[in-house]
Amino acid sequence: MSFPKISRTLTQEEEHVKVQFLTESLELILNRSKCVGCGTCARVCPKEAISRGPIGASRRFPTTEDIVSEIYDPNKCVFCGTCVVMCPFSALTLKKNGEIINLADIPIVAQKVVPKIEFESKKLKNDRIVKQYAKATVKIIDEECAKGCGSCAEVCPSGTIEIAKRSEHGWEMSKNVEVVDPDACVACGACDNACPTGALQLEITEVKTSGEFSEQFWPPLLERLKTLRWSKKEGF
Amino acid sequence: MQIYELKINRNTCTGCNACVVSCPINFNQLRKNSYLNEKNAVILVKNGIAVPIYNEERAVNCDGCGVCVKMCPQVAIRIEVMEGV
Repeated sequence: MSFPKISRTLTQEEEHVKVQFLTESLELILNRSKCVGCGTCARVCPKEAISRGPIGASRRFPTTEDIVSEIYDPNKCVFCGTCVVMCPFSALTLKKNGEIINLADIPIVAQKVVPKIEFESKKLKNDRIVKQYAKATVKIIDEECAKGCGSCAEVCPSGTIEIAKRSEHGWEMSKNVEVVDPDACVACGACDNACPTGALQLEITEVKTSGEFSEQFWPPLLERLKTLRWSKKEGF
Repeated sequence: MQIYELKINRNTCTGCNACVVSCPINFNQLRKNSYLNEKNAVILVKNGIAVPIYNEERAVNCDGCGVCVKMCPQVAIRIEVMEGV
């Protein structure tokens, strides 16, 4: 046996990545009941250690163990804590030697590599508390939408997007996606991440921060935060 | 980039076409090309059994939205993440 020992375990409650050195250990834990699959961690990660899982499916079947919305690569993770700082739902925790590291004690926050993120805490319908630090606009392209798959509405934590219910008569085509309440949007990016056809595009317009930051680390991170999945024009 | 694999239980699948019709990617391809074949579809029914199609070269593949799993009347479909790709 050789150190470090790297492991990734999956249970119904959490996804757990652990690196055990000879004298100390580092852990990254995703709480699956808090995670909505917005993909902020995947976008922000400097090492591309987090990738997008089957998000629509993970919302539709939350009890199935092997469907997780975010997937970690334990061999790439460096435990910098960027994902923990940026996660709007505080679903991620970082542990050192079995003890949880507070947000203010994470090295990149303590040494002012990342500026202070000025967030408002917001309570959503299902008693979920969100850190909102950005603003965004939702754009729907009618030609691409499959009309009725409902992935975006299933995933959206704030109730901004709703899908119009199918009419009584089966022969009438169901309506498109609707932006019901634009002010409720928490700019997490879950809808953009879940849309299978690229019909729904989110644009992050504003990120609220203050204080000092490192020129090398923060501007590229901000750019990565703003490049959402479908704004990259991948695919079609 | 993750790749999703649809696993179909060949004993319970009846070939009813519910997955083929419900898949949003299939629907978009059908609207653009007005036909579905092995080149543009994600899932198709062949010889009475649904067959998932994965093609590295094309830009569109299964996206893991889970609509087909929900629509399947026989609960014969499962989504898995292919690891180590």
